[in-house]
Amino acid sequence: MITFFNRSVPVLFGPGAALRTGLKVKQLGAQKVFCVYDRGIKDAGIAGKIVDNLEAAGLQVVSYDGVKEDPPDAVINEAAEIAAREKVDAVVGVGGGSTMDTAKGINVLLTNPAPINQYYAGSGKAHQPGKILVLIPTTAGTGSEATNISVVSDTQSQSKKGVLGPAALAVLAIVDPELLLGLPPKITAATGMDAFAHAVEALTSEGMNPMSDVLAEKAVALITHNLPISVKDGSNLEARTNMMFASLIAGIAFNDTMPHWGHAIAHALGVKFHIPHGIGCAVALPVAVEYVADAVPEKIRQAGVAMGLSLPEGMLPAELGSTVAQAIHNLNRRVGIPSLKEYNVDEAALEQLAGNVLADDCAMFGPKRASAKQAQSMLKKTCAY
Amino acid sequence: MLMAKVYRINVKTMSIVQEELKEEYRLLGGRSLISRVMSEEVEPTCDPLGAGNKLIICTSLLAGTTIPAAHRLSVGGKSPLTGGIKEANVGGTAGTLLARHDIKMLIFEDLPASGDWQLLKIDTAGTPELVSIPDLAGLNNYALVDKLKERFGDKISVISIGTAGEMQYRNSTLQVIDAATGYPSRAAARGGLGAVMGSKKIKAIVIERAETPHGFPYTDKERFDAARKKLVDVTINNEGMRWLREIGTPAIPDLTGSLAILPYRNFSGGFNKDVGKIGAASFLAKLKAGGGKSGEACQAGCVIHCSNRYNTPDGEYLTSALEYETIALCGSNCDINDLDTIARMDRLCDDFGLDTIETGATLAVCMEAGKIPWGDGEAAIGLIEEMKKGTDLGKILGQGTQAAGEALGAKRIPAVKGQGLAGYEPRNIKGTGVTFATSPMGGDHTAGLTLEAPIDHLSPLGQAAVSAMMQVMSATADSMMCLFGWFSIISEAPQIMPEIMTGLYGGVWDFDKILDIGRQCVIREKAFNTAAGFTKEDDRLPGFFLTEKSPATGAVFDIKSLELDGVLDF
Repeated sequence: MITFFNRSVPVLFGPGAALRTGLKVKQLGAQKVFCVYDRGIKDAGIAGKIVDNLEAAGLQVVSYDGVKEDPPDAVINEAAEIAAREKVDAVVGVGGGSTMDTAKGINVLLTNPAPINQYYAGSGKAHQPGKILVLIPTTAGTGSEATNISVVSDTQSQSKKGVLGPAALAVLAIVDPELLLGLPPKITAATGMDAFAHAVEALTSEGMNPMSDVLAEKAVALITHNLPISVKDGSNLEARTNMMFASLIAGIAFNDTMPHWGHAIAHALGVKFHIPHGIGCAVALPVAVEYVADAVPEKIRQAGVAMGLSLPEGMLPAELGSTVAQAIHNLNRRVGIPSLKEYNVDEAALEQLAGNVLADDCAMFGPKRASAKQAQSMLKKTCAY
Repeated sequence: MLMAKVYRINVKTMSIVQEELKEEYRLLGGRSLISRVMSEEVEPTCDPLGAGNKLIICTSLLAGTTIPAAHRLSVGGKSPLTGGIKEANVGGTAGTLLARHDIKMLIFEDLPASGDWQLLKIDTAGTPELVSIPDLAGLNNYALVDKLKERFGDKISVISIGTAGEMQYRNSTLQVIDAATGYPSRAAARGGLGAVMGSKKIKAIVIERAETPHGFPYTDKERFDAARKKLVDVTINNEGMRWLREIGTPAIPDLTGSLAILPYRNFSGGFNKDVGKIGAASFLAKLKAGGGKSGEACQAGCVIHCSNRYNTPDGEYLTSALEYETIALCGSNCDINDLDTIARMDRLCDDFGLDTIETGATLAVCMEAGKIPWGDGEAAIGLIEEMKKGTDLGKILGQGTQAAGEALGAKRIPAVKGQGLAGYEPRNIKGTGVTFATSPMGGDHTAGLTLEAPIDHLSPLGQAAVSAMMQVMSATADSMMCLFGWFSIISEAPQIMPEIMTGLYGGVWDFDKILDIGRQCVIREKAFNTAAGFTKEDDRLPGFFLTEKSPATGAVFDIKSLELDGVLDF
C-alpha cells in the first residue's frame, strides 16, 4: 500500500516556548501581527503576555478578542475584514480550538476573497496560501495547531463545515504546556477527552496509516495516564506537558487519517444542543468504538492495550469493543465528564440527529459505513452514559 | 638566528636584566606566551597584588612582520578580579613600537620597597630605564599622556594606568595610545591587570620610536611574501567582514538585540525595545552629526579599520572606538539607550582606567539593587565619578560586579569566576554561555564567542563542542594577531596561515598545528587555575541563568554540568 504522510507543521514545544513567540514571528518575516483570542484567554492574562512578547520583539500588534465558541462564519468574515484593513502580514491565534479555527479562517481571507463560506470542503473551491499563521494552543485537546482544517459553524445550514488547505495550516505551532497551568478541571477534562478521541479515532479510522498509528497509540497511553492527574492537580507541569504533547501528536495523527463516527456524532450534538465539543466526543467515543469493533478488531485491541488493559488472545471483536468502550466510560467518569442528561438531551430528540451524523464530513472516514438506523442506535447509546 | 629580547624589571631592586627569548618560547606569542611564563614562573596561589605575581607584557607571534593587524599587545598576570590566570590584549601603537625594538616581552617582578611611582622608558636605542615620576602620580590617562608627550615628544607610545590602577581597583585597565587619534583610548581591560601594574608602582611605559627599526628575521622571505599578499587580498576583500570597516563593532547591537542576546537590564534576558537608539543607524547618524568617523585603524598597517572617533554633538573629540561591549554593558544592560551618554561613560572609563564591561555590569547590578534607577545615565556617570573620587561606595564598585553585587545585596549577579559577563546573554546564545562558564579567563568577550557559528543558539545541542572549538580559535588568534584580522583570514582561506608560519619560523605547518598553539595555551591556563584552587564549581554560570526563563525566548541555560566539565578536555 502506498501511503501519503501529509505535511505537518513545524513545532516549537516545551514549557516556556510561548515566550519565544515574538522572536519566532519576527524571524518568519512579519512586521504587523493580528493577534486573535477570546475573552477567556484575555481574562486569564495569557493574551496580554503574548501581545507584550510580540511587541517586545519589535512587532506591531492589532488585537482581536472577539472569538466565539464554535466560530460562526460571520465572526470570521468580520475579523478578516479588520485584519485586511489593518494590512497585517501575520496572524497569531492564541487559545483553544475555536480561536485557532478563527485564526485559520482569517488567514484564508487575507489572501482570498471573502466570504469564508465559499471555501468549505466539498464546495469545490480551493484557496491560495495565506500569510504567516502561527498558532499557540492553550488547551490540550483540539490539536488544531497541527492540522490544516478550520472548522466553521455555518449559519445557513446550521452545521459544522471544514475549510481545508494551505492557509489553514500554520507555518509554526508554539506549544507551551505552561499555558495549561491555569486551566480549570472541567475544561481540562473535556478538552483532554477530545484529544483522546482524536487518538482512538485516528487509530481506527479508514484513513489510518503506519505513522499515524504510532502517534495515536502513544497519545492514547499518555492521555490515559496523564489526564486524570491533570484534572486532579492542574499545576502538575509534567502531566500538563504530557497532555500537551499527546494532544499535539494526536492532532498530527488525525490530520492524516481524519476522525470518524465519534466526531460525526459530537458535531451533531454540538450544533443541535450546544454540547461542548470535548464532552460530545467523550460520550460518543465508546459508542463509536463498539460500533466499529468488528471492522477493526486489532486496532481496538491496540487502543485497549495502550490504555493499559489486559486483553486475552481470542477475545471476539464484540467483546473487545465492549471492553474498550467500558474502559473509556470509566476514564470519562474518572475525569468527571458529565452525562448528556445534564444537558437535558432526551433519546427521542437524539434520534432526530441521524441525518446530521451521516451528512457530517467525518462520517466518510469510518472503517465501516452506517445506515440511518445504525446511526440512530449509536446516538441513543450516547445517552446511556 | 637572532633571538628577540626580553627585559626583566625588578621593581624592588630597580634592576633591569636583558635576556634572550628562550628557544622553547620561540613559537609562542601573546596569550600563549603569557600562559607559558605564568606556568613556569608564578606560584598559582600567590596574592595577585603581592610580590609573587608578575606583570607580563608581550607582543604576538606575528609582531614585527608586515602582516596587517599583527601588533596586538598582550598583558598578563594573575588576575586580582578572578584569582586566576589572565591575559588581556589591546590594539594601539605600543605593540608596533616594541616590535621595532625587537622587544618580545617585559616582565615586571616583585613589589617596590618605597612608595615612589616610576615609569619605564624605552629610548630610541631600545634601552629601558626606570624613571622616578612623583609629579605624574594621581593623573588620569588623558592628562598623563599629554604630559608625557610634552616631555618625550609626540611620537611615543604609552602604556599607562589611571588612578583606578593606582588605587588597585580590581576592575582597572592598562591603556594604550590609539594610532588614529593619539589618545590613550585602547584598553587591555579585563581582569584588573591595571591593579597589578599599580601594585608594582609602575605608572606608565613610554616607548620611543626605534632609531633603527628591527627587521623580522624571516626564515623564507619569498614564501612569506607570497602568502602575505594572499592574506592581504583575502582580508581586504572579505565581504563578511565589510561591516567592520563600514561601521565597526557598533553594528552588532542590531543583530544581538533582535535575538535577545544583547544584555538588557542586568541580564534580565528580555528584549531591549529601544535597541534602535543604540543601533548602527543611530551610531552612524551620531558620527555624522558630531563630525566623528568610523573606518579608523587603531594600529599602523591595519587594513580592517574597525575603529572610530566619536565626538560630542558640538564636534569636540569625546572618545575613540566606542565599541560594542561598551554599548552593550554601559548602555543596554543599564537600559541607557543614548549613545552620547554611553560615549561619555566610555571616555570616563578610559581616562580613569576602568574596564567598560566590568563597569557596565557593576552599574546594572547597582540598578537592580535599587541604588540608582534603570536607565539613569547621569546617575550612572555619578557612580563612575564616585569610583574616581574613591568614596566608600566608589571603592566597593571598583572591586567589580561580584563584589559590588554582594555588598549591595543584588539578587542577580551576572559574573563567572568573579568577573562580570561580556555582552552576550548566555541563555540566548548558549555556546557563548559555555565559554563564559568554562574559559579559564572567566566571562570574557574574546575567549570564544559563538555568534558566527551556524547553529541554533537557543538549543543546547552541540554548544559544548562549538565553544571548545571557538575557545581554541580565540586563544590561537590572541597569540598571533588581532582577533578580527585572524577571523577575516581563516573564514575565507585558512590554508594561508601555515604558509605564513613556515615563511616566518620555518618547519612544516598545517592548520591543526597552528590551532595547537591555542589548545596548549588553554590547557596550561586551566592547569594554572586548578593549581590556584579552582574547581568544577567555578566553571558554572550563576544559578539564575539556569532557573529563570528568558522572557524573550523562554530559554534557560540548560547545558549539563557533565558537558561543561569536559569542554576543555582535548
